[in-house]
Amino acid sequence: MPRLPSISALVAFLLAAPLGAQKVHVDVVPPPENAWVDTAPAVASAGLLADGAMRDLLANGFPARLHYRLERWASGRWFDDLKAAFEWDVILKYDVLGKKYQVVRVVNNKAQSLGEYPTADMADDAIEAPYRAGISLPKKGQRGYYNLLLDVETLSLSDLDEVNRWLRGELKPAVSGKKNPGTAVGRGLRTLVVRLLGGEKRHYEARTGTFRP
Amino acid sequence: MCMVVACTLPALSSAQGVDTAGRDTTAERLGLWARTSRASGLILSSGKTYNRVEGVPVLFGPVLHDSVRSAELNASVMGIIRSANSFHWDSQNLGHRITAEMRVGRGRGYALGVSSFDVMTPVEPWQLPDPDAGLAALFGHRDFRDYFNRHGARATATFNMSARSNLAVNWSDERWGSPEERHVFSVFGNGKPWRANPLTDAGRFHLAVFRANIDTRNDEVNPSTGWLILAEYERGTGTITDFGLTSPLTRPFPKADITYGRALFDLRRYNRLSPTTTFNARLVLGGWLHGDELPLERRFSVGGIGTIPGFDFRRYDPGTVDVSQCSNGGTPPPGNPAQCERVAVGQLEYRQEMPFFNFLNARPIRLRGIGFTVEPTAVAFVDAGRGWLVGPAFADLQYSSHSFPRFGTFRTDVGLGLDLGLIGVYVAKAVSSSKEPANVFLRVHRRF
Repeated sequence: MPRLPSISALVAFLLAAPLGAQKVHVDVVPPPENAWVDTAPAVASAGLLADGAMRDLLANGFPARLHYRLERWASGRWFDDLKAAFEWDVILKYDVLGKKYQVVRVVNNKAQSLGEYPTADMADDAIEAPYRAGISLPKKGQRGYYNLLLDVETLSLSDLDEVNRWLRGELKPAVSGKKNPGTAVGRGLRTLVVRLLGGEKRHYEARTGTFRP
Repeated sequence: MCMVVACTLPALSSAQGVDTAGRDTTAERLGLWARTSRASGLILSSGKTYNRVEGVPVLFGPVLHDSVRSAELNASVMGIIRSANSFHWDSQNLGHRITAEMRVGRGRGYALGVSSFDVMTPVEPWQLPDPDAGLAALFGHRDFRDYFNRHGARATATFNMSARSNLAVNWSDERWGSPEERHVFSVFGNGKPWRANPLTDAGRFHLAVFRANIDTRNDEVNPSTGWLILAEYERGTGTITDFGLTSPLTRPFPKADITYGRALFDLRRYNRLSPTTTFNARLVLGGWLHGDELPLERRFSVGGIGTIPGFDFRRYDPGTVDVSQCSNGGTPPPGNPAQCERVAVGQLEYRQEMPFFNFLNARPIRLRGIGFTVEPTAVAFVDAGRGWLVGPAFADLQYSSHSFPRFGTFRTDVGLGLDLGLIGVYVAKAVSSSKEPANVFLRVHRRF
């Protein structure tokens, strides 16, 4: 089993990776005036697709998919009980020929266009705007809370794409002497680690506080 | 060259007794994503694994996806070259995986498939997921699995009850071989010898496998309620041409032509106690059911980070009855292989989220452009388990087929950990053997 030196080295390796990106927010916003029995909460987010790698991939025509699952739980004496769930997808793709970002929301197998936008920022705004899900509402007096699960998946993070980027971006300059070969090997290792960690999907969670309508 | 990702379906069966539930939009998703992600073309992929007999297996070849009415057709012809011994061109470094499958219905439906393969397979995949095993080998020069080679063909029929639950029947004709550990790079300890990959039984086998996967969890990545159940029965018939090495009591009268029955149950239950607290349990029961003795590829063991982390993986203590690997009578074979005919493991886990550590997410940890955030959760756990042989009762190691070892003979441990979502750091201390020092270890994502 990995002992402390290799554990600390792995943690250091991970933390030594370049830091810095917009903070990601995913929120379940309570209904106005806490009208829990009349209105479902809204789901809002920020910064989900803001990092450079994601933007680069989108600009090259690879779609991103956001899968949402909003759950309503009832607080129980021993175990909490899942009372309702509602799921939907948002898909974002850049139309290279038309030079516009297409945003589609898929709910209950029906696709609804959220519009076409000339910039990624505008498309992000459309995706991350508050959305009130069609989840069933709690009965009066039923103590509970909402829980949101969000998976963000980018199609382009394939092995081949990663290998191509590595060869083009880091290994080739290193081989030709324009870049430190150690850096290239390190990045190759990180690529392998990302593959082993399942980095093609990012998972977020958010929830409301407990309420009694 | 066209790029394709084999996307897993993060699916969504909702069998938790909900009063309303939105329809599963993932399994039947439409439009851009579905069309793009199912594109045909050439694929180049790592096998998402890393181990001491293969290094990285690199898969390449064409894939075809098409649909006719409600039937979906998938086919692929993948060659495999393995990075061990610097991609040396030899039979152990070359393999293939050819598959053709027709699936009718999305979510609920059925599928029929055939495949031909020449792949390296772990002996006990139930213990540890691929990422944990791969990263331990890549970074720590520790391979927590043993491997054997499967070369043959398989036909499969599957009834899908939902996107994540199914019943399947496989029939295969395959040759098993015993690969050696090779020169495989690791970040730390590179150049040191690897633990020997145990010599397993070589021969030709016909296998019929009945498998049920029931998944009612609310989420695959971070489940907080639901069941995950794997139940598997395998009937194998075959001829062993070269016997693997065993301890004396493990296989006193080796028999070349064998027929055996084997079962494995892996039950996991997830419970939410409060918005930030869960209590989860796992029970694994597996072993010989009928017929001749199990071949070495179908045997069991416990111990190590996947089962009872308070005990070192494959550790040999001279003079003690080994209820982890079921070796007896002196030094075990090289690699200290799994030799038990039956196994029982129970794991309990209490998880408490710690939102006050969320400041760690102010800047996500970034790896190759992927931002990983952390979800700090304190974990307390208890594990218990052991393996045993089936036969005339002998020295707390062998029991008759109708008896079960008393709990006092089980190996037990307790532990604490901090799960950051991406990686968890844990410490486990053996309880049943007070002399064992505490073990510190890492796990990727959750323990189970």
